[in-house]
Order: sequence, then structure tokens, then C-alpha cells
Amino acid sequence: MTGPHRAPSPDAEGIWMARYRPRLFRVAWAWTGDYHRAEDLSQETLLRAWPKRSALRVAEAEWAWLLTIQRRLWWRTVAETARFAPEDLEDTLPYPDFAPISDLQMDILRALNTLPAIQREAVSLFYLEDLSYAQIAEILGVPVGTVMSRISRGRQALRQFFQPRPLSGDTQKNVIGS
Amino acid sequence: MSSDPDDFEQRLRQALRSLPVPEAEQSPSPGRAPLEDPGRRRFFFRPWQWLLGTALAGGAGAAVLEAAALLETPSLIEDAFRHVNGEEGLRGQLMAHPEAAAAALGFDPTRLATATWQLAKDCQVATLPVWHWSFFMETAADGRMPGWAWIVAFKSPTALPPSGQAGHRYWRSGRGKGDHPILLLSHSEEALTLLTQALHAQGAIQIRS
Repeated sequence: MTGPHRAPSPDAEGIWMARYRPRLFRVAWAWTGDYHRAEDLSQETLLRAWPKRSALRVAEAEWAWLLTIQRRLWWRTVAETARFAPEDLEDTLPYPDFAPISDLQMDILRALNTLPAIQREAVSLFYLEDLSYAQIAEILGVPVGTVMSRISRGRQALRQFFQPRPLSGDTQKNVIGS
Repeated sequence: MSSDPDDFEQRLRQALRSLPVPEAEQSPSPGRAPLEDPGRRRFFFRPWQWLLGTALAGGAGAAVLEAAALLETPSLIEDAFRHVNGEEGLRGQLMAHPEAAAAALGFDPTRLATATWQLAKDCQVATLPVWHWSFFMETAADGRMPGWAWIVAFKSPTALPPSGQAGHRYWRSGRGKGDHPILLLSHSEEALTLLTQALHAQGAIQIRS
């Protein structure tokens, strides 16, 4: 049903996925604000990319290519799930009790979630992956200047988010009220 | 967080880069025909993959979701499974004419290997985060269950996996009203217990493991 494959060894696939899965997952979590959706997104990205990986001519570009795939999938799910999205998204962000994240990390995820998606994806790539403006621009498919602007605005919004409160203040109320 | 610009950005970086990553989780074997795409079971076990996989693989366990009717769950679940067993006859078409069925559904034929997965996603049966199930959570468990849960009732005799756990996925197999096979799934053992107790209390489904 799936047709003949080039039959790479199972180990090769596992190693490859293990290499990228944590990074893709973290980016996905920052983008979606949702642990479970991040699992879905990163898994789907890897599963789609693996069979096409050999077609990639420049191995160094693999990471950017994966991010591009993940981004495309994310925007697709954003569109698909829009009709099911609750009105007060911030109030219902699922943070599973089994994911040991700090108060600061939770605050940051909430803060990111208050940003427009186009700023959130740029800021996330910038801080998580240390990509250059040009690299981010290529992944997002926008001019470098646009990336710089989005990151600048996102950074400013994040600063404002944390400005009036102590490190582990009453985050949720502030988010909802903002 | 510190107002110092450098410190702010540094802590932002560190916090994001140290976000915990879930471990790979091995799917349980349903003890039946393997899923069409074993690669999808490599990590992040997804109950619906197993459910849809068993349904699409044929056999006695045609997965027809009845929980929507029994528990007034959101209609989106009904809609989702209508794609499997409804007028479109997707299940049969996928088995007999997979490429045509995929094309009819708007799938790229080259993505046929992902049909099961995509079916779940397109039908909005992917991870059911808290907001999709907040109605049920509040109703059945007094809002005590953050996370996600599935209650799946099968109309047909279906071989369910033994109650068990894979990573942070917990499930309990049993029988419900009308002797339907019932599968409860959730993100934690505690939530699963609460779910079972709530269902007992409501009398909506009688689980006996």
C-alpha cells in the first residue's frame, strides 16, 4: 500500500528521529502552547519528512527544511481547528501535570501564546534555535526586515508581559486580563 | 523576570531550551493485524491510531463510536467517525481501493501511507485537549481532570487490548451497557480512576474490567 521504500535500516530512522524530535517538539510547544498538539505536530513532521529526506540535496539544510514542514503543518492545523477553538484560549491552555515545567517556563509559554502567531513563530525560532534573521526569513517565507520587525515587536510584548509582575506572580489572571 | 535586557533574553532562551521533551512511547499491540503504517507507532502512542488502525484493517472490530450518543459528547466525534463508517464507506473504500478513496477525500495519493493518521486529523479526532472535553470533564468529573480522556464504546464485538499503560497514556478495557466493549483512555491513572468512578456514579456506562 505504501509502495516500495529505499529500506533504510530501522536504526537509521530511529537515530534520525531521535536527533530532531526534541528540537522540533520544543519549537512546536512554543508555537502551539499545547503539549499534546506539540507531540502531534513534531511527530507528523518527522513522519512526513523521513521518506523524502533522501531527496534533500544539501544536508545542512535539513533542519530548516524540517522547520518549514512543521510550520506548514502547524498553519494547516490552525486553520482546521479554528472552528473548534474556544473564545478564551488562554484560560484553557492545557499544561499536563506530568510535564515538569517551571513557573518561569509556564509563564513564558503563556506569554508567547498572547503574541500573534506570526510573531510567536519568529520569536520562538530566534530564541529557541538561535537562527539568524535570514534563516528565519527563509523558513517563514518573508523578507528579513519583516522577521526583524516581528521579533522586535514580539520581544517588546514579552517584556511588557513580564514587566509588572514578579517572577512567579499570578500569571493566569494577568494573561486573561491583558 | 529581570528587567535587564541581556538577562531577560538569556533566561528566555534557557527556559525555552530546557522545556521537557516527552519520551518515546511504544504502542501496545492490539494482538491483531498490525497497523498499516508501523512507523506511526514509533513514538507518541495515539489511541485513535490504534482504533482507526484496527477499524481500517478490517476484522471484527469495526470501530463505531457510540459514546457520543451515550454521553452527549461533542458532535464532532460523531462527525469524525461518520467518515469511517458513514455513507462514504471510507473504510471499505480504503481497503478495496485505497488510492481512489484517498483521492476522493482530498488526500494526496503519495500521502496514502498517512491515510489513517490524516483521517484522524482531518476529522478532528487528534489529541483531545482539555477544551474539547471540558464539557464532559465538568459534567462527569466535576472539573477535576485536567488533561484529556476518551470514552469509546464499540457496537461490534471488538478485541480490546488489556488495560494498561504506555508512557503517559492509560487505558482501561471493559464492558458497558448492552455488553458493548468499552475503552477508557486518559493521560493519567488518577484521571482514569476518576473517570471510571464518575461513569459508575452517572450510570451512563457500566464498566467492568
